Amino acid sequence: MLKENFAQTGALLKINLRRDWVKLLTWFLILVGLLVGYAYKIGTLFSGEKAMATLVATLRTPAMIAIMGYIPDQPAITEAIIYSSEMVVFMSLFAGLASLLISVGATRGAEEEGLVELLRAKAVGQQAFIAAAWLENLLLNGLLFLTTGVGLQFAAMTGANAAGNWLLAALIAGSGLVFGSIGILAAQLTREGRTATSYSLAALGLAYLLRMVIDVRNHQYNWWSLLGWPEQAGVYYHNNWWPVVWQLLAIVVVLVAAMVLNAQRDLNGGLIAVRAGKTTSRFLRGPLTALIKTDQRSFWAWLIGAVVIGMMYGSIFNHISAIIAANPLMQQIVSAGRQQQAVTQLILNFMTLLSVVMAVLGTIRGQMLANHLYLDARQGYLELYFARPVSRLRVFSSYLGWAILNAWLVLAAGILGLYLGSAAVMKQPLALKYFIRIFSGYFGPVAVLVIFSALLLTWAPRWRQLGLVYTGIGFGIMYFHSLLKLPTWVMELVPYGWVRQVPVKTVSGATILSMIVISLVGLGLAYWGYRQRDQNFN
Amino acid sequence: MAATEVLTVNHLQKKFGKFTALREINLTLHAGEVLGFIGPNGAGKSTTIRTILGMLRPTAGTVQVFGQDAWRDAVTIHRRLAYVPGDVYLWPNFTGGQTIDLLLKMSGQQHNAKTDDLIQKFALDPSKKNQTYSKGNRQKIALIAALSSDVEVYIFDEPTSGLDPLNEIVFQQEISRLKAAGKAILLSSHILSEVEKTCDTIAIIREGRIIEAGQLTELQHLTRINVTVTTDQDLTALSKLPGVHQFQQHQPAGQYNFAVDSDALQTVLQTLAAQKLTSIQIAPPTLEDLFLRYYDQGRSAEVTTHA
Ligand SMILES: Nc1ncnc2c1ncn2[C@@H]1O[C@H](COP(=O)(O)OP(=O)(O)OP(=O)(O)O)[C@@H](O)[C@H]1O
Ligand SMILES: [Mg+2]
Repeated sequence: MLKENFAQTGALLKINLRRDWVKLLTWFLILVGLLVGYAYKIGTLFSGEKAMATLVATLRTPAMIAIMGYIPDQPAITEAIIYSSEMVVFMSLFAGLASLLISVGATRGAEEEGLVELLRAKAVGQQAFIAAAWLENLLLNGLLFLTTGVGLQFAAMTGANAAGNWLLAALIAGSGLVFGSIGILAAQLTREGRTATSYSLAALGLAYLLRMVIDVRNHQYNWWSLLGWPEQAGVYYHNNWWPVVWQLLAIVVVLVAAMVLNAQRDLNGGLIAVRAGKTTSRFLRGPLTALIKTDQRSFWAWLIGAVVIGMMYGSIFNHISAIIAANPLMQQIVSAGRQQQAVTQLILNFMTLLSVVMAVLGTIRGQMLANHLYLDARQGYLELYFARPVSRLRVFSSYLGWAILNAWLVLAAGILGLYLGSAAVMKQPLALKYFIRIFSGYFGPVAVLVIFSALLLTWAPRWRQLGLVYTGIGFGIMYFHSLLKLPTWVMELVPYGWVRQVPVKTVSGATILSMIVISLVGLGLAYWGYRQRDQNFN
Repeated sequence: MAATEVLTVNHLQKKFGKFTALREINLTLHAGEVLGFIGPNGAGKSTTIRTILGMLRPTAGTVQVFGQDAWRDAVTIHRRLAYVPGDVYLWPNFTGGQTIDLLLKMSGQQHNAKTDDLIQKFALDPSKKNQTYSKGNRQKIALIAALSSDVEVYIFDEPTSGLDPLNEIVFQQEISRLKAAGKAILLSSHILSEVEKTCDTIAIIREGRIIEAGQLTELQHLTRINVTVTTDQDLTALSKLPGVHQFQQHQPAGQYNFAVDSDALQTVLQTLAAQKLTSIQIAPPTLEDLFLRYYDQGRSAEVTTHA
């Protein structure tokens, strides 16, 4: 019986690997590259006592703790400890992201393509797809564990020890597997792959934000978050292996839940049955309204998600000001009257980073919507439009208009959340004008990036995912530029870099104007490309 | 022909990268004509239709509908045209009724009495969500939207591949109605009886080439006639005659079965007239014979002897 359920898992795994190997290899190289590369570089990046001391001081600010994670207070801070406090949360986040995307693709994605139906009719076990997806994850994370462990051994950072090296590798691979398993679970809950991705991404994001809020207040409690666990290990100073055990337990629990659900649901079905509905709709009248209606759920999910993320970031602002106010050095240098101003300045500096987060959220939403122009064509939905008197221009502007509008809405929702969160906790709330500044600074870069995606789509659809990659790179550059001491020109390689001073400074009219021009030209070119193309994007 | 040409395809060629899907396509369709478009899987039927609809850009050649360029003037053309794709993909979470109305609105048409009539005839439950419909029911939605629009040209790409026999009859009735109303219809299909019943002209496509086109009655001359005779005399000499194929003799009853090229029928009948026959049956060629003959070309050499 047990054997039957898992029949053909090996064959499926082979199919998965053949299909996913590029994805797997890319993620593997990115993850290992960052982990091992940074371990080698950290000594040269921050050589000398002074550079080290400034770095530690920066890392101890609540803003940095919020972003990177907790750094221990003990006096003997070594290169290795800095490395682990900077990397352990973030790389866990990345490993989790990679794994869950792969899981959903290997389970729901395959089912949507009809592959499961085809194979299940052969002698493939009911649970074999779950098992194969999980093994694919195990392979990625297992290799990640081994390579990172060995790499760290060779990098030999000062203050590193073998136990710490392997523990760090295990924690990150463990996080990958935990979220990979969550991805498999989410795929059992819903009917569409897209929704499964959203659910598991929400779980990942929530874990990160929860950890942030707890770390800033009292890091002892961060075991409430899956991404707090790696921090609990105290890599290189406590070397506590218990979090790895918790991770293993979590994986087992999540997987068992997924298998129980899988055993109960129908093929191609979710747990919730689809109900009948009204036979008419006043709202539906063309491509735009059809898109809005199909997108309805994501629309609200993204808006609410952005507000929540903004609020969580905003809710830690009072800690930033409280800690600065309590700092004796601060009290000595700055007169009481100017203290408030100094606090505001510091928070605004922190907000330059948070603005990027909101902008990235908006951009991703917009780029994913823009990609629907391609996906819906491939799915065959657009064939029904183009057989009717519906022009290319109308379809193009419906999809792109909705994409850009939503990118802006999500950006605005994130900023609104930030405002609400900070206003709720701060004694002297920040002026609204700073928040408006963020929007007026970032609406340009966000639009430029969405249009960049549209250009890829219409001129080189094979490379359409590069838009998201570019956004990811932009995020990395902007988020870590101070830690990596990146020169200005590197920042200006991404549109976010053009407005990097926001909201400390306003963005100049000339910058806004040039972004508008770039956007319009980009839109024109994208439409031109779209006009030339076969409708199904061969 | 007196009727106006509504569709003209001239030397159409279409490449997907290096792969040539269409090599040489020539087609014409007149008002009031039903053109059956048949050919094996992957021959290029859907590709041709999508090019006519301006969804694919021709690599070479011209496609004109109502005298306008199919690619450039797609929007104007489509105001006077309705289409049902072979695979119907519908937006999830819309109900069938909503989808039909949306499709009609986009064509500049209204939900009308005919729509309700068709929903009833096809026995469709319009309150279900699209993702819960079966293949046949999804096809019905596209069919209802197309058949209840009042346009000049109707294009169907294997419209009945998912329909049960009862619904297929409804579809055929609708085609007759449109034909009577003087509409032009392009119908791609694998179901030969359907084409035979509904079409005036057919075009056969193979490997991206139109290999035969014309009136159904004209084409029947090109094919073989099945003859069955019962006699107590020996007819084996017949098998030597030119134009006689698949000669079979069923021993006990003295029954013979063979196929004759239509141009050789005359001589064969003269030979037969000299014999004493108990019974003779001459069956006109079915489209099936025609179809098999063209489909099989290249697969079996035996059939190609006919020049
Ligand atoms: N987008 C595309 N890219 C590459 N090749 C394609 C594409 N679309 C169709 N083809 C190829 O063109 C050929 C013709 O395909 P088409 O869909 O027109 O066949 P068909 O006659 O409609 O077949 P069927 O009876 O199975 O529907 C096939 O070999 C197909 O593989
Ligand atoms: Mg086809």
